[in-house]
Parts: sequence; C-alpha cells; structure tokens
Amino acid sequence: MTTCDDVRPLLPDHLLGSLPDEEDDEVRGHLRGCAGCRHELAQLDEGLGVFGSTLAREAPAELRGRVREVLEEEWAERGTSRRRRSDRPPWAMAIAAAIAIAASAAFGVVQLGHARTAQANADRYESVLSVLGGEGFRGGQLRALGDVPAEGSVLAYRSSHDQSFVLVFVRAPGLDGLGTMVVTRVDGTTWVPGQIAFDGDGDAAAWWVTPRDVGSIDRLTVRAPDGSALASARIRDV
Amino acid sequence: MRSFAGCDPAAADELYRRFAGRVYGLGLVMLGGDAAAQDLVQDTFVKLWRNAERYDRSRGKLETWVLLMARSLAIDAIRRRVLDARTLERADHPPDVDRAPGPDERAVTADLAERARRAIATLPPEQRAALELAYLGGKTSTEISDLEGIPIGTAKTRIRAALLRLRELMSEEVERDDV
Repeated sequence: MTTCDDVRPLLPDHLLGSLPDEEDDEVRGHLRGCAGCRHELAQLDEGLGVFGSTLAREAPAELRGRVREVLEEEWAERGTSRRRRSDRPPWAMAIAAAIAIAASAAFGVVQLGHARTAQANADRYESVLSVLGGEGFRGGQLRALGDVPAEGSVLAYRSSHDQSFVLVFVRAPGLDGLGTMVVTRVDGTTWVPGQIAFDGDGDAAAWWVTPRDVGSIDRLTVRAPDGSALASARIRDV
Repeated sequence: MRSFAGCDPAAADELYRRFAGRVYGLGLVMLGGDAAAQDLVQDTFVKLWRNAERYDRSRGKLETWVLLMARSLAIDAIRRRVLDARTLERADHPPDVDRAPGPDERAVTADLAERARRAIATLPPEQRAALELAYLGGKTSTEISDLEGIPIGTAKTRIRAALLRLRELMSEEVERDDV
C-alpha cells in the first residue's frame, strides 16, 4: 500500500486508533512522506475535535477536588523521582553526561569492536544512565533489508535536558568499512547522525549524544559501506 | 503537558478546566450514568499524568489525545459489563443532579458545544450514525460495515466525510462571526 487513494480511507481509523498494527505502520510510513495526507489527517483531527466538543457537560463541582486529591496521591507515590530529575541543575547533567561518556569509553562502545560484546555491556548502562535523569528508554531491533543477514539493536535514552543518547549495535558477517546511519522522524524528515564502522568480522557499534528529541525518532536505518540499505529498526518506547 | 508531567498543580488545574467537561460528557454518553462518568474523569486524568511525557505534539492535537484516551478507558469499561444502546440524543437530557450555573468562561465552551451540535444535526443520518458508532461505540469500520449492512469502503467513506464536513461547517461558522 503506497498511494494516497489507499491511505486516505484509513485515516479516520488511524486517528481513532482502531487500525491493526501492521496497517497502522503502513499508514504512518505513508504519512512520513506525504504532506497532502498529513494535511487531511489534520483536518480530520479538527473534525473529531468538533464532534468531541458536543459532548461537553459541566462536571459536578466536587469532582475537581476528587481528581486533584487522586493526582496528589499519585504524585506523592510516583512523582518524586520524576520531579527530582526535572529539578536537577544543568551543571549536574553535564557532569553526569561526562561520566556516562567516560563509562561508555570504558565499556568499549566508542571503539570499533565486537557488537556482541558491546551489546552485552549495554545492560550495565542502566546504572550509569539513571544518573542522567530523563524520560525513559526507546529502542528497536534492527532487521535486515536485503540479502545480507544483518541484525542488531538500537537503544535510545530520552533525556529531559537536551542530552539524549542513542546506541546502535549491528552485526553483518563479512562486512567491512564505513556505513551510514539515517534517522527518520515521525514527521517524515530525516537526518544523518554519522557513520558506523564495520570491522573485518562485520561487527559495528556507534553512539551519539544529542540535544535533539529522540522521542520523535520513528525509524533508524543502517546503510552498508556500498550505500545499500542494510537494516532498519522501528523505534518505540520501552 | 511538560509542566503537568512535572506535577505542577496549576498545569493540572488548567488541563482539568479544558478537558474535564468533555470527558465527563463522553462518560455520560458512553457509560450512561453520573457515577461512571465521574470515575472516567478520574481514571483519565490519572492515565494522562502517567503518560504525560509520551505526548508528542507532532502526532496530533492534545485535545484528540486526551479524548481518545478517555474513550479507550470507556470502551474498556463497556467491555466489562453489558451496555445498553446509548445515543447522543439521550445525552441531551441533563442528568438528574442540580448543577449550579458555571462561571462565565464556561459560556464560551457551551457556545462552542451548541455550534458543534448544530453542525452535527446537519450531517446526513448515515454519516452521523457511522461517526457515533466509531467514536462513541468504539467500533471499527469493519464492525460498522457488519452492523449497518454496508460495504466496508462505504463505512470508511461515511466516517471520513462526516469528520471533514464537521470541520468545514465549523470553519463556516467562524467566518460568519468574523463578518
């Protein structure tokens, strides 16, 4: 399914969240590259807002206090750690980022090395990354796009202070040389965070710190040294 | 939303002011009772806070996100019990609890709601029915197609046409006011 004629009838169901996952993925993929359909989706969104506005009724006065009490209980139980992260001063974040970078180097992620070893070490990042604070993890599995049996994973840490991380691990047996990583955002725009180096065994690992919002990353694609599309991962919240 | 995620009471109050009435009204229509509607408001705001950091403006309006979250919770509640058929006409009858007149700012919301109801009233009946089944009944296009005995493409077309028509009608209303 690639045409606007295929996608537009599905937009209301997409908006209402009632499409099957596979179909919804196809719609999202089309929307990334079609301003016309995105415009129609925005119009449908407005129409849905009109419909929703007809439902408005004055809620009982006591409901406000009840909701506020419940939220305060929620904040007391779960909100402390979230507030603590958002209250952390910027200089502490910079120091924490420096610690994480040094730890990354110590774990060998920066160096060209065996993706399998680096991937195992990724578990140890949790204690380091918890120092940074942020909004959580996102990630996805890299799946081969062509004949080369590539596999791997992407792990993104969403910081609330413009210091998000992205880690990429790839294994493509026999590949050697510099590949390229391409990030596609949910709005269809792309950017190239950099290259990824494959050693003679086909292992590669890369990472970068970015002020960009990793929450808007929809997909990461790795291109082989010859420019062909090697593998791709859909990035979702963990 | 960022402030709300950071447990800001003022942000919570603002979100309540903007959305509680609509979620409550949605609950009255879908769940058929004041108590259930109040529960829906509470559950929606808790879920809203728990997911506040996931809201992505690039994916759509906050209003849509909030109401679809409430709708999803209402559908879950419906699936947990037997639901009598409810229509939007029944929700026009006020609940049997006295309501004090709202503050002046609510007059704006009430006016918008009245305009929207007028717009909906002009929709062809089949489009309105499809939209109500999809939005209030939580039905997919396939389910609407089965319920109404129409091709699935017709069901999709009716929902789409209804939404676009509502947007167009409200835009016309705004233009008339501007004259």
